Amino acid sequence: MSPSSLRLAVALARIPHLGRSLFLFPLILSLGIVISQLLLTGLLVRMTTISSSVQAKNVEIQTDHSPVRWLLYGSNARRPELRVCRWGDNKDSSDEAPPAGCNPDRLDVAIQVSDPKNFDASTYQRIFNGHIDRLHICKTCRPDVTIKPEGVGLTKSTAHSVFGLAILSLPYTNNDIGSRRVELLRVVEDIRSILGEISMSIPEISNTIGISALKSTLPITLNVALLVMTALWLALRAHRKVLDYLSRNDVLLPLAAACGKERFYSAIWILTIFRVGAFLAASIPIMYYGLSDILTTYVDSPTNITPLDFIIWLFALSSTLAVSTIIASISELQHRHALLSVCYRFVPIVIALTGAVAWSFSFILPYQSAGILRLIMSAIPVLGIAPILAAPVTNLPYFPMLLHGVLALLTMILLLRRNARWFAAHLEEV
Amino acid sequence: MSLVSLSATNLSVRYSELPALEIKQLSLKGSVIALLGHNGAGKSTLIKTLLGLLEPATGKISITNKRGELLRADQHMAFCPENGAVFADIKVERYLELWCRIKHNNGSYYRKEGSRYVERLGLPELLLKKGRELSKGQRRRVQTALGFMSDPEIFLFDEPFDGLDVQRTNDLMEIVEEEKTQRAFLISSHRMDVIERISDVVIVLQHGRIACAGSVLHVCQTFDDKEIPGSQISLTDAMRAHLRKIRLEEGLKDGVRS
Repeated sequence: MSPSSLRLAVALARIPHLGRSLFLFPLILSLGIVISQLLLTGLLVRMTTISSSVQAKNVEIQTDHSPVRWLLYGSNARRPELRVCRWGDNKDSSDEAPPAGCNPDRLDVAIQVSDPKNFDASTYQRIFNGHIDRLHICKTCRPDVTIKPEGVGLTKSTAHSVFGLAILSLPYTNNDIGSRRVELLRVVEDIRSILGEISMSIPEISNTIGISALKSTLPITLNVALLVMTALWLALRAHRKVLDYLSRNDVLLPLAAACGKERFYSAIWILTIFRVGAFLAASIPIMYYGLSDILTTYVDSPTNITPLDFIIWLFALSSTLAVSTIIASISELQHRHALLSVCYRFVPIVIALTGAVAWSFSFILPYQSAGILRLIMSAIPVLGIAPILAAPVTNLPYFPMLLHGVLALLTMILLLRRNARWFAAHLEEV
Repeated sequence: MSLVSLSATNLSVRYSELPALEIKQLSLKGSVIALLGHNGAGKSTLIKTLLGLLEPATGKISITNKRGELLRADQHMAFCPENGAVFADIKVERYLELWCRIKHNNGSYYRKEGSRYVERLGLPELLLKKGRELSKGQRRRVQTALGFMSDPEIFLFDEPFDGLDVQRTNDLMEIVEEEKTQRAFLISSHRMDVIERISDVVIVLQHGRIACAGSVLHVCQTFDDKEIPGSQISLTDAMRAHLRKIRLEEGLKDGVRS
């Protein structure tokens, strides 16, 4: 990597189109992906780890301080006692009329029945009490919500506006439902305390797998794996983007000739490093603080991943995913004129999925040798992506992970060298 | 006159497994070397191999200057492809700046030391145009100016006269005539009339092999099929005779096969 390559890379990055497509758009897109990952993780962790005491608090918030009510009425507090308005005949016309002081409003609910005077509205009174001001029992009146009670399975509720839909969602934040959810969680907590720490023993692994610690290990594993995948995807696309852009403008050959192939490829590598570096620099702090916040807020059991575990796992995972993307890229590039060229992109995915199925199936086998088979599979690049991905969860020993990483690196070097030769001979075809 | 020596030994360049260029032995000197041959004869392959863009499967090819120093693509050569080269979405001015920054580490080189070529190739009127607004000829003029600005010892042109009108062809020929005192040229072209006037050495390629190489006179004599003593045919007629011969040979081969 010489200063002249760096100069070339900077000059290329200053081309507005390349600057935008290499750095700006992917950065925004990738940050969007990271933030979505965190939101989804937060939501899932919160859903799976919520305790009965927190749930009880949430129920209280939802019933007494509903955000939906704030949207509808400008206040999240419970509404005053529900008033039931039974409509009667109008003396001046053939229409029906509400009782005095019961003029209908858009945010009311109407139960349309043939005999308003004698209809038993106690059930509706119970579920809407505290959420709306008036419940009309009438023949044809129509506020934002109308309900036609025609027996079990035949009752129809219609919202006549978005506000009507919001009103129909309010009974679900009912205190009854909430307290039953809290009850359910207490039962689950009881079972948990009776069973204690759950772990799984696998023959080839000396330590047992702590299932209870998965709450913290799993989100870290999945988020880091997705981060590595996004970074590799960005790296792969960087090469293609630069070469495609230069080729489309007929500048590829004169530029490669004028700079020398070595300097030219070095510049593309530098651009790739810039791109991935910019992505990682922006996303790692967000991911770190986001995940830490989620885990410290919602998960009480600490992760069982040590820094050494993490480094070895990251090395194996990055190497195997890098090899997979390179295989996909080369396969597609070398067969780009084939009718089904796009299929070549999925070659490593098919290999990895085959490995994943075989690895999962081996857990059902009742033989001790299945453990050895799993260890061997874990050490094979691409085929063993699934066991490597799950390594922090399954406490995979260091040796197969290290072997996997080293073999993947060797394969990558071999492929890149062959690829470089092929690339040089087909520069115009990229 | 800037002379260069082009030499090749046991050179074989292949696309996948198909041979594109096979040269057993080549050694010639010239200041304007022309590459002639039918489509697919191997002209562009030869240029790309010289530029180091294609790796020979076996053998080697090299160009040396009159002091015997090996010429390197990134330091001593310039290349203008058939379609020229300018980024479609940036102005010619920005493109010149980019190249000057890459080659000279000075974005305004084209306004100072390189301004002679900007003027000579009529670029001032194009500076504010974007690449996509240029014709093929204009794109080639831009790349030619940039090639000259890098002050190469040899300038490689791929089909530079293709699609040029009489005026532009004469302009380019004049530039080559002027510049050949300072640098050599290697020009691949189908325009025999032009090649005959500007080149001193010709290489005729046929199906990736050298059919003939030497001075224009030597090539004309080699392909002369009239065999009238004392007469001399033009390069255009010589090449026509050569092509007739190839077709005849290929027809005979087909006849034997069928």
